[in-house]
Amino acid sequence: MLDDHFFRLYGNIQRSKWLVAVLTAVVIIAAVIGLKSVCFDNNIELMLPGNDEVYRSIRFLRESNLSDKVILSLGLKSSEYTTKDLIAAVKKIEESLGPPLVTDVISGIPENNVVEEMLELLKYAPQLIDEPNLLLIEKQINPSGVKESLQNNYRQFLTPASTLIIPFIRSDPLGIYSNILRSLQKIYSSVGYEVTVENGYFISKDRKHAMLILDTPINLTDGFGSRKLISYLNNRLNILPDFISADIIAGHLHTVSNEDVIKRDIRLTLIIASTAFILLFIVVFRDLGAIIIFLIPLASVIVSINISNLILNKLSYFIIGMGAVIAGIAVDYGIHVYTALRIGDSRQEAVKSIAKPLIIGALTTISVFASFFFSSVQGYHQLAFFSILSIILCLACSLFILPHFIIKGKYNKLAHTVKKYGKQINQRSLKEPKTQDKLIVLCWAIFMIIALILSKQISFNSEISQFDGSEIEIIKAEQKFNSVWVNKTSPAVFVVQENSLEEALKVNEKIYREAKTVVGEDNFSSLAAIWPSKQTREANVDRWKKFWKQGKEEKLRKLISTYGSDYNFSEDAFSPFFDNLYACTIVEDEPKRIKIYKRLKERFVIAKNNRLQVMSFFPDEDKYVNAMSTISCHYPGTFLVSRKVLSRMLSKSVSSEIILLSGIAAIMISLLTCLLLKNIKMTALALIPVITGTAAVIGIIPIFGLSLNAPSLIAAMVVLGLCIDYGIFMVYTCSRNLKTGTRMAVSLSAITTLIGAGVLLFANHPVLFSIGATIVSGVLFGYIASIIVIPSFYRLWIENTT
Amino acid sequence: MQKTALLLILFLVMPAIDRYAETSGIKTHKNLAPDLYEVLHRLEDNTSEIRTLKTEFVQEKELAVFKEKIILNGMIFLQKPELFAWHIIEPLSYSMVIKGDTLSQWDENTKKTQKISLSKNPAFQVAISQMKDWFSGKYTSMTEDYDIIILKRKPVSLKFIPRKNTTAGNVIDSVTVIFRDDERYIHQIYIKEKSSNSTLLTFVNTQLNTPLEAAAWEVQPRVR
Repeated sequence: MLDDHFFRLYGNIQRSKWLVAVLTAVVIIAAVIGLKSVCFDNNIELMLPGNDEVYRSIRFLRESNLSDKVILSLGLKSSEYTTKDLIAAVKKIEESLGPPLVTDVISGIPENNVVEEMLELLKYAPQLIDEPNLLLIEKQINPSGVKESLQNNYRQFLTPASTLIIPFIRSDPLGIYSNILRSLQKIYSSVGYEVTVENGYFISKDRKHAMLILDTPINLTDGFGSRKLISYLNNRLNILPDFISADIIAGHLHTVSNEDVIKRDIRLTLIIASTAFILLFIVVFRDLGAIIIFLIPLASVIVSINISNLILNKLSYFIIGMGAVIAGIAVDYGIHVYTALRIGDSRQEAVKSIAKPLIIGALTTISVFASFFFSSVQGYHQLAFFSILSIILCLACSLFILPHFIIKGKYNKLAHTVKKYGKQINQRSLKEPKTQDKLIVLCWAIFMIIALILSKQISFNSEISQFDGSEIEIIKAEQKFNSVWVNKTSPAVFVVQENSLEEALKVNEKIYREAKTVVGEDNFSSLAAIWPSKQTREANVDRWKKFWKQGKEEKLRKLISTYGSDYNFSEDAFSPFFDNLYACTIVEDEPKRIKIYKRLKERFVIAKNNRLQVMSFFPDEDKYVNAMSTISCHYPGTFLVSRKVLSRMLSKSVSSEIILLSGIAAIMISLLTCLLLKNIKMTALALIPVITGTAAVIGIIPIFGLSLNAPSLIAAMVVLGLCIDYGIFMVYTCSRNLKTGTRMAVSLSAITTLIGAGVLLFANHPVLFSIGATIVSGVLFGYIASIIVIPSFYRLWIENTT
Repeated sequence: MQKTALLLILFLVMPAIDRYAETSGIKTHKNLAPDLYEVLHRLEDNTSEIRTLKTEFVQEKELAVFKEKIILNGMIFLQKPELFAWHIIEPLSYSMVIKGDTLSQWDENTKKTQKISLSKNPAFQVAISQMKDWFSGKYTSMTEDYDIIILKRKPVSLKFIPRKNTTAGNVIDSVTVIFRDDERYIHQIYIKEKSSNSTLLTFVNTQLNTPLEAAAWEVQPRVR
């Protein structure tokens, strides 16, 4: 019944083939035009496992200003020049940078009024000193405590470095504000860079490098903007004198470099692939009509992109990249139909004999991609839909359109080749098993054992950095930067997310109190250490006022007056302390006049999408991450971002995801093949190329020092889909003794796939290279197994036993 | 706690102080008047011959925090390239010794020795190198951060006025240095602060290039 439907449709199209051709052409042209309106999405979340924690971490790293900053590291090339020359260069560059691409330049700490700013901050002590610290202060306000303080102050006034500390001691005779200063010091140290400040500029410890931190509105995922930004910066850096080196450290560089590498790779691979295909065309086909074989998958992919875009709304760039792979798979259908038409006696008979194995092959390949629907990765669903649609369209065109436009009867190289080498290629007897068959099977078994032994060395690499195809100069510049400026690994981040700053600071304080006990105050860098919530500050002020006004102020004045005279202190020696006792008791949202606070806030607070995120930093080590994770569980709206944990999560998620999908694909292939072939033994034979290809991938990859990763696992699944096609065709040929040039068609299919994937071995981008290595090793051995091993197995196992 | 406070303040505040001296030696400075350059060059030549220094000092501090002038007596030791010691004997016992990267200080109140790594405390490093540079006589390099006026030629007396836009300029009004008659070393340094505080440091019994006792580099009580 299905045959009837098939050939009714075939006949209808044959009768109105030119109308069909015109309609097809119109659809293709419309699809090509429609490409301009396709929305592409480079959101990496689309390709990540559906894990909320992973999405959140990636989104945070992308959206936080931790990633978008650009750093310029200037260095002295010659010891003849000094830090002052370096600073002069910094000033020159700083003046040359400005909007719209650079919105702010931070080259150091402003030289002027640092002392005044510090003293201003200490005036906020009434808001910052909490109850425990007030109790400590109370313990000092007694004769022995004041005597000891005055003695220390006296000594410090006489030491060589007294000039700068006098204002501080006068403002804080008891040293009660030292906690504020200690907290400030810790926060400065948490920046992560080892900087000193000279003349107000960030200078490295070796005094040979200076750093500028630039703010830019260009998001690092914006390829076009990144290119403009880098070009602008390089242009500006040209004004530097010869004795100054300059390195740009920015995620934007990676964006641009990856784009350049991929473009170069695509150009190179297209040239090589085009050349190879043209040669193949000239040497093997020598028929203009054969061009249609290569146009069909291209047209199918273009139409599929448009349909996918209509239904899915947005397509990931990765999916489009996979389009080339799909085209490589789908061209096989056209090759099989073309070969059958050329070799076979009549057009209809040729199509009739080839249709069933072709459809079975396509269905099994579709089943591989259908397994992606079981994935939690949104991008894989897109891949599944797009791939299945492309394959269906390609198959339909190959079966229903291509046959009507291949002209039979004319001399063609293909048939001539087949006839000339008939005995060796296509006409070899399949009837009697030979010793050679046993040898072939034995060799195959040995290969499988060796491959499985070698596969024990296979490893899975989930590091995100392996997908970075940036040029080596960029990596080297970053290594140099780290050796000069970085004192420790990137910290983990604890994020409090609320609708307002006040709400976020309240939660942040609670987190800080708990973190101090589990992680240690020295290991947890938080804004709460120097600027609590308004509510807390108001409570502190009330407490402070009550404390001093209930007699403590008077008592302290008397004690200082009494014991101060022993050290010759003047009556107003510590008047700044008493004058400022109630200075900043009106609680503002933040100390706007203090630039130090502004800079710190930029580090600890992010405003995104009408929400405030307050960050705290701690060492990215398992014990601390675990401890803070436990704390986070008690506070909804808080989360952790740990690069180490993210990497592990991604690895676990991706590998378990792919293993699941591979398993599903393997089961679906096996079941479908069995269902369609209706014979267990034939199914087993058809699976030989699949097993061989898989063994080849996992055995050969480690030999070349490569490891599996997510793209190569997806490519391995594509290998399954290709190899099962070879298996099905060879099993059909063996069982039905088809005279449709199957071996030639399978060979041509394998060659075209190997060309398409093989060119990726010339690619510099690690992802493309990884995909190429996987497909080449899998398809090559899968093909060899289909051509050589299946017939031998067939003769030994099926023919011999019947 | 207060000693810690001092360190913290210095850590936070001192980075804003200019680093005055470079270690690259005497340079020609284009914008210097020839006579000033000649004087500075001559003084630097003389002080560059000094390998060791041992001197008593009398320091008079007029600080607004005190009712009266405070007079300190002590000793300074210097041995190029890396050893520097400042010992106060009266009115309190205090010692600060710098050996390369390490600063040690002791006082009679706490009776504890505190050690600080200068490379890990760049603020301290800047402050101490400033002090050492004054005593080591690297005056030519100071011309970038100070305007220098010759007050007298015999004995040489120079006035250093910090330039605007330097943090020293926010704190110090001027530094006047009076040299010995033989111009081999400093006789007096007078620091006038913008806050009206002032310090007069007078060197007495200065001995140049004499062997220094090992005890000079120990932080310990000195005999009064």
